[in-house]
Amino acid sequence: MKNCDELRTELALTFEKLKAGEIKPGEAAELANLAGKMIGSAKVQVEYYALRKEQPRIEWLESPNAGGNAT
Amino acid sequence: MAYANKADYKKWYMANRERLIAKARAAELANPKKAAQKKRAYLERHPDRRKETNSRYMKKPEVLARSRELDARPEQRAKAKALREHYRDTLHDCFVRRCLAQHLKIKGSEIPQPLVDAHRELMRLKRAINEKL
Repeated sequence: MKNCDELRTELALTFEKLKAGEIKPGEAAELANLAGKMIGSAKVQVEYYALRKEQPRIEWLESPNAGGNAT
Repeated sequence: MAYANKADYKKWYMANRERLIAKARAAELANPKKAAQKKRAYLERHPDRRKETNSRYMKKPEVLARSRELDARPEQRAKAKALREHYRDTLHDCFVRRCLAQHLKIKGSEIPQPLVDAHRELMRLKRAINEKL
C-alpha cells in the first residue's frame, strides 16, 4: 500500500470479502488494526506540519493521478 | 500609520473601522489556512479567552432567545438529533472529520480529504467486524 487511495481500496475489498464470508472477522480485524495505525500516523504528520505552520505535500496522501512537484 | 498620540489614531480608526474590518475579513477568506494558523496561535497565547468569548456569546440576548425558542420547540431539538444520527449512520464527511480531529490540535476541516475517505472505509469495516463478532 503505497498511498492512502490504495489503503482505501484494500479496506473496501476487505469489507466486501467480509460481507461475502470469504474471510473471518479476525483476519479483517488484523487489517483494520494495521490500517488504523497507518491512518493514525498520517494524522499525526498532518497535525505536526499544521502546528509548524508548514504546508508540504505528503506523498502518502497524494493520489497517483494528481500532478505537480513533490517536496 | 504613524500617529503621535493615541487619540489621533483612535479617531482615524473609528473613521475607517468598517473598511479595515472588511479588509481583514477578505484577507482571511483569501488565505483560510493562514487564518486558521493565526487563530490557533492566538488561542495558544490566550487559552482563557476562548472560554470568556464563549460565555459572553452565550449571554447575548439573541442567543438566549434562540436557546429558549429551542427549548420551547422539542420537535426542533428532535430534528437536530435525527440529523446528527443521520451523519453518524451514513458516515458523513463532517462526522468522520470530527472523529479524526478528536484528539488533535487541528480542526476537522484542516484534515486532507484522502485521509477522511480512508478513515471512513476503516470505520465501515470496523462496524462490519463488530456486527459479525
